[in-house]
Amino acid sequence: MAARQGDREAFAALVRSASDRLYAIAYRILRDPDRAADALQRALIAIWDDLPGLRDPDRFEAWATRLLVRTCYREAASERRQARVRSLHVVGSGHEFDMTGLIAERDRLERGFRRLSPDHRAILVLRFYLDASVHEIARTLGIPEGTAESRLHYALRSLRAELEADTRAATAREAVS
Amino acid sequence: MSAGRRFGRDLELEASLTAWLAEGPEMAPATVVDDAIEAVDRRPRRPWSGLRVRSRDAWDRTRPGEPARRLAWAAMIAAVLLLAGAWAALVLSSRPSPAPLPARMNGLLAVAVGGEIVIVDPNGHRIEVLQAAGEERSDPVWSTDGAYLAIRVHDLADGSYRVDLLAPDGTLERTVLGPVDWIAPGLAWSPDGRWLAAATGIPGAESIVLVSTDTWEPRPLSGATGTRPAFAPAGDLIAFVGQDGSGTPGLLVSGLDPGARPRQLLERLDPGSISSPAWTPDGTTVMVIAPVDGVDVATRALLSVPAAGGPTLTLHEVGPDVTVAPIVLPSGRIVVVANRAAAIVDPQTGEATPADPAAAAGSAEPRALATSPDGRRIGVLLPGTCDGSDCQPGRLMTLGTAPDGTVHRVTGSLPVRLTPSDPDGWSIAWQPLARPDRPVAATDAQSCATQAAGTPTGPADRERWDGVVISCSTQASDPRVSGTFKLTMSIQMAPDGSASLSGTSELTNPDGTWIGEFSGTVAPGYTDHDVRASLVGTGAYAGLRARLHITGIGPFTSEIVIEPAVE
Repeated sequence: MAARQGDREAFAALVRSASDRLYAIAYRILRDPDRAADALQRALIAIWDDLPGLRDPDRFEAWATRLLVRTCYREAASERRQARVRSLHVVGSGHEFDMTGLIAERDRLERGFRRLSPDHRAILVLRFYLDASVHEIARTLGIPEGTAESRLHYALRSLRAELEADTRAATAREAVS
Repeated sequence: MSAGRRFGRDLELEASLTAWLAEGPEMAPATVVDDAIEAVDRRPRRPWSGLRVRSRDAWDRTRPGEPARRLAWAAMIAAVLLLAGAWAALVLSSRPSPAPLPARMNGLLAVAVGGEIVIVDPNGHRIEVLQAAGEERSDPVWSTDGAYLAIRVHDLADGSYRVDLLAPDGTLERTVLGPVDWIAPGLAWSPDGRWLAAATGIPGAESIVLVSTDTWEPRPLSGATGTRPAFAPAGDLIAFVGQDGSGTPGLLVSGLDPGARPRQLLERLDPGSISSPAWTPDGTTVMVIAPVDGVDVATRALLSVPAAGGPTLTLHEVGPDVTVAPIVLPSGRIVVVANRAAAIVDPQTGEATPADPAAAAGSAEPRALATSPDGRRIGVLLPGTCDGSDCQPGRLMTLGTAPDGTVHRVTGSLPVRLTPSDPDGWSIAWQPLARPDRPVAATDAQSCATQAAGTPTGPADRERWDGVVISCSTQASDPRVSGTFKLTMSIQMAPDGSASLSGTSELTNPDGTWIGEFSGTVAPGYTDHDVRASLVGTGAYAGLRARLHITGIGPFTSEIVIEPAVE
């Protein structure tokens, strides 16, 4: 692979072909276009730095995804630090009661998903967006298959718990109003 | 997967999740990818990345597969261990003498844009956004010790203005001025830390107010109106743009004593045609951009105005479209940006050296410049642009300066993308760090652990070794050069027992990594040696280069010079 040898044009072509997929993953993990863009940019630079360490070019896609997920973790950590000041702009008006059906369900998923830890978000995206098997997830994240399986299990369980809590809160608000 | 687990799956949730995740963007913003490729174009690849692969391949090739090769391999390992141990012993015995090094003085950047203050390190990490509902925040200025940030706050609820003092994490320490009806853009903190200056009053007829940082009491600077205060390096004078007691507009300078009367340095019909003043490091001269003929902005030029009075020197013509005040580097040279072109101007001769941070970053006109406290970096703030609905975000970038003042691109744009919002009130302030009390010196102590790895080449007497790896933990009085030192080297042995060394080295600590090469000679018996290394900084040290020279018989003399990297 020419990019591995330091060919910058080859690298540019390589990342242009991969960046849409990586950005889509980053957006789904971080749920924020700006943060996804930042994570992608840092991941692309990390890819350049570490590309010589990639032994098997056929594994580029999974390897690049692993680097991206790591940058998403860091970005999510920084998101938590900024929550104090950014929370002023978070919409929480309760207007979801005016919505029905699909939109309300999407909002509910969005809220529940955002409350998950970054590694839970990442594994759900790999499984249900990329349709990756547990084996592929384990290879991508560099973790044992058993760990991937249990993390997926707990991620789904956490999401379900968040959704149920959200439903209970909505019911309580309706009862008050 | 067990039947129970399978039975426990929530297929409805999984289906909903799959459908929900399928929604959302599928294409990366082109600017993000372009920025990354541009950054990589200026970024040296870490040499050990490829080295790791090559050394792994070398290991695979030389892995023992038959008794003879296994024996040779074991002998090589033992020899390398001995060699590495000898090297480690020499390093352990070193007690280098102190060598002068510049203190680490550069901290965070505070960037004001769109009513928010963005705090970012010089590599674009550790980003914090200091914002609050119902407030527009601008004009950050750091205290001399870098512990506090003063900002101008516009309260949108009642329209009032005030100056707040914040910790770098955004915690409000106190309001130091106001609320009042108006505070003009531009705050200044005296170099001795005793005074904060702001301009308040009626828009267009502001008075300079000094706030004591001992008592937090404000008092007006008597006998003048004006804005854009700038303290002299000694902290005893303040320059500003306004009108003197007789109503004559221009550039003025005043002492700080209550009875001090401002002096007119440069009369100009319209104070708005004069840029914010910038003092030279020796405090003798104020640099401004102003009309040469006193009236016509088309004749604007960089002017050198003696603070004690005397003839003004026209240094560099810039024309009418200047949006950024000049900045003065510690070397005394001045950075001027106009019409998307930058120049480094000699303060004595007016000779201008082209340096083009605007072109380096794109086609936008910079809206703010700031020099780092050590003068080795320049922060440049570029606004976002919109062509219809196609908007490119603004960017922050830093540039490196050489001792002669020449600007070099060293870091490219930082991954800080600013929304193309209100173009007014953009500014940058670079946080100084307190100088360490202890003397700044080279390495104090090292301990090395060897990693045996390497490949002998040549005949059985092993005249050459490749891929020898030695790791050391080094503690230095300058934290920049403390950390884990890893040397990967080739050793060419001569029949007389001397050797020549060459290889790559990396010094890693939490703030960054120094990457480079070294080469040198070792006298017979590994006594006297002479090794030189040149390392390029990454992370917080991006834009710097460390030159290392080790000589002697042991204890060694180590000299490390940290300086701006030059492309």
